[in-house]
Amino acid sequence: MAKKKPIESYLPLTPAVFHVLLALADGEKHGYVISKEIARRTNNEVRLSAGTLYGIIKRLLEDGFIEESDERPDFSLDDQRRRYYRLTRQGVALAEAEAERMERVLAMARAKHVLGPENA
Amino acid sequence: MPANNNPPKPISERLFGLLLRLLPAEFRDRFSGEMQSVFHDQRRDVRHAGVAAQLRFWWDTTSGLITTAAREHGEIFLQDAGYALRMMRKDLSFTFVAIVILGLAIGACTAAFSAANAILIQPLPFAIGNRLVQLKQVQPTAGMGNLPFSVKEIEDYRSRNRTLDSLVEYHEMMFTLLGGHEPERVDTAVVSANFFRVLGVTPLYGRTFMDEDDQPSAHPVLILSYEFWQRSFGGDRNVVGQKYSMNDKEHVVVGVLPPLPQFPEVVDVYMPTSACPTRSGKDFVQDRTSRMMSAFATLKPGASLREAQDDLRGIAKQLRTAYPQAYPASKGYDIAITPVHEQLTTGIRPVLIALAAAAFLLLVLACSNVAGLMLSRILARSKELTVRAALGASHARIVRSFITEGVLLAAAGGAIGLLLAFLSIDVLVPFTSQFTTLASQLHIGPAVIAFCIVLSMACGFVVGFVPAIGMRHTALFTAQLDNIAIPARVSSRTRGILVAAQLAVSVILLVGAGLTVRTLLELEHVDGGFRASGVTTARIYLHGDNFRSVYESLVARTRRLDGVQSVALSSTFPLSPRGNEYEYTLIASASGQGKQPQARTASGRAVTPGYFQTIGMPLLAGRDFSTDDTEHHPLVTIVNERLASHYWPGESAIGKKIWFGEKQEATVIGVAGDVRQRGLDQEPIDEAYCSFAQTDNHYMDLIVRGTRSPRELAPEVSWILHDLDPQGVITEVKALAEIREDSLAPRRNTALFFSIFAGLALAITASGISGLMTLEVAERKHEIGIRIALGATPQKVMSSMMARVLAIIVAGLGCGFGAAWLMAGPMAKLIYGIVPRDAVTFTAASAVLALVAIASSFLPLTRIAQLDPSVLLRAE
Repeated sequence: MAKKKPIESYLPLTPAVFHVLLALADGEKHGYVISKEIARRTNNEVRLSAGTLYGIIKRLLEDGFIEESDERPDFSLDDQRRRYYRLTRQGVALAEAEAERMERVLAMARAKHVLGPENA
Repeated sequence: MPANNNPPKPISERLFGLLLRLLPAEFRDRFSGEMQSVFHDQRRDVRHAGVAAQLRFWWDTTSGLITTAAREHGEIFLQDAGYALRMMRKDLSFTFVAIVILGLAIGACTAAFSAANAILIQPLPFAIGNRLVQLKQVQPTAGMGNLPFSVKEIEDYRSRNRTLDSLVEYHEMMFTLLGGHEPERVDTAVVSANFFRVLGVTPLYGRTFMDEDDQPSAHPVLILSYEFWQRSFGGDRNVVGQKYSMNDKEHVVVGVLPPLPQFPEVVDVYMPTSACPTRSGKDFVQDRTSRMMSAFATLKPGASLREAQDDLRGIAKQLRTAYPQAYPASKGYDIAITPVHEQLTTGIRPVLIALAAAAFLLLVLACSNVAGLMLSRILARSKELTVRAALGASHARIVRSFITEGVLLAAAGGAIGLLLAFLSIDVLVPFTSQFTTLASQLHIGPAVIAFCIVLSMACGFVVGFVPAIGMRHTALFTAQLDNIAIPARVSSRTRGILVAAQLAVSVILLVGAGLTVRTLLELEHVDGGFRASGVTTARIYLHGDNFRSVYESLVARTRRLDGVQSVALSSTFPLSPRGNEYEYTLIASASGQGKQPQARTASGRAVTPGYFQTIGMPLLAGRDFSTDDTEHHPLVTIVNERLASHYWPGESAIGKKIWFGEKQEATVIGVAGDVRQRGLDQEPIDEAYCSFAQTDNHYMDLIVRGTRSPRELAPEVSWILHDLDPQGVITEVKALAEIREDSLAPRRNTALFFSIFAGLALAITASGISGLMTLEVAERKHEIGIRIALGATPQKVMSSMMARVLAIIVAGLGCGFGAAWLMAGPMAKLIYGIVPRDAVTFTAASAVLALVAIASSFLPLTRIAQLDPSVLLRAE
């Protein structure tokens, strides 16, 4: 059930939560693929164990940012224990809001010359 | 071989399955399958990645799971706690009663733990506490269990041993300290210069003794105990460096001790051995048999008690061989060592263990009571709980909410308990200090607070979980959601068991209280062998050479005071808190041909004529001392009946000879009655009285019999004394009856603590039974209505319900009686004058409890008579 709380109240997200949202941004995935993609994209800097990953998934489900997908792959390729998750509209909005927040932070860092220009 | 369709899971997956159990059941039910799948895939990825990667994988997996589990449990707890707090607010009377009952019991347990922890569990508060031992010389054949040490003996044991790090000596003296506001008698410990270094004591101000202080030519120095410094110098730190006169010599205060428990006795000041005139006397130092000191030592690191014992016994053997005259074979001679901690706690150990056990029983009782209350409350909410179950709340989640409520109640109870324990310190310190100097260590520290928290959590778990056990077969737990009448019946049985448990525990506590109270009553009426009423005692200290004439005049002039019937002097008196008796090795004359002289240890006292009459002791044979029994006449003695019967059974002791040691021969001129000198619970010992005029005692107790109170006598006697000797000191003017009462204070306080526990137990149990019956009547109103409508009289219904209560009472009393019977044996050390399984106590405790139980169950039952069946049935 989606919460009435404004999206901003969830920000900033932890890196792990943001990466989970990013992993689901291009389509539904099951837990192992989510963790695998995050590890690959971050050069193993962010490693989500089963415990951490499902703690995040549970909260995102409860807050209505992701949902379980009914569509499953072909039976021969499927593991019945797996469930597939995808972003909800609120989930997309949350990921966008966090990305924008980070962008603003980056802009501030550039303005203060803490970070080089964008295309440097 | 049959095909195995379910091959065993690898160890790693079984281990992960175990880790998953850390998660809340609901989380597990929802995600464990997926998590196992992810774990399986992730593990496959690192299988060939080397040890470091595998270790990192396991670390990530374990820490991630623990973190998630902690967060999930925390969230559930907060939800349940919010719900529980709302429920607790709704029913404030229940909440209040439960918190108070748990608070009292947790407080009692925490207080008992704080005492046991400080005195029995914690090591001595000295740097080498656990290695500190006392050395005891023994002469087994002469019956001497603790022969003091001479200087020569201390030197020998110090130089010859291989297992001790250091050996220190200690003895106590009374001196007069001059130079303050007025002359003051001070308890003085004379110790080796390294005494404080061995104990690891750092002074609060100034310094402790140095080796130079022990040299014969050293300037006399003093160290003040913290308590004496506070009492007599108002905590003035400038006292260090001040000069005072003592034993006609100037002494400089060089330090003040911190507030540590004093060891082995509580004294006012400490001085090095060189400053004590007796100890530093040339003859005393040279004489191997001039024994006065105690000896303490620290074991070398790694040396066991047994090794040290063997080592010292080897030295004792060498001494026996080298100095046969000092260690006559007829007396035997050996040495023993005991850990000081054991010695300091011997007296209080059984008391503290008994009190801790009583407090624990009170806690069991409180938990039973509150669990019963919780059960009733849960029943009252059964409809709401059934709805929660129907809406998907798991059994585990519902039980968990009970436990959360229990934990919240116990946490509040724990806070009250901690406060009570904190307040109890003011009572416990004086109580325990009657047994040990370690009492000053008692405080509420981190260990006690941690104990209180853990205990409270455990209680919360129990009071929340027990009702869940009681309801495990009920609708909530069997999904028979349409039948919410089942819980009442099932829980009624559980409540019955809980009430029976309370009764059983109450029996034990009542028996404990009964035994200690009966012991106290026995001791209060025990014949000590003297008549305390009308007797006033006062301690007198004189120093000049004319002390005999001062004492004579003091006695004569005190006798002439109004209301005084008789006056005497004695080196000590029965039950004197100071003790101060001398131990002699007596050798009696052979009472018949062929019999060898026997050596026995006897306690010796110096008294003046009229002592026996004044203190109220019977003189059974012979005569009292007379004014002629002086140093110019042959030594005479009066022995007690016990000593006479040991030496000369069936014969008259009068005219017989005894030897004090091997030097002084005395003729027995009288036989006095036996007296319980060392305590009303201590059997009389062998005693020999000497005439004061034939001894050399400067310090005597003035014993006055008459109609005047100590308060009236004190100023008049003091005036007479100072008129005779301006430097004479009179202290401790007290009624002997009061001293007798004070000697029972430890017993009285023990009985009081047990009685408080028993009283609380009785009140809690009565409320438990009353609550049980009130609920039974309320829950069975419908059934009662039908029975009455069908013709049963209210009395019949009442008697059928009463029969159930009686069954519970009988079961509870029976179990409690049996448990008390088993537990009475270990209580023997606290009991005097009665057998531990005292029939009177057991019967009285059971009868009182049965009466209270019946009375508290009867009142709710009388409501049945007021029920109107037509109203009840219509209401249904």
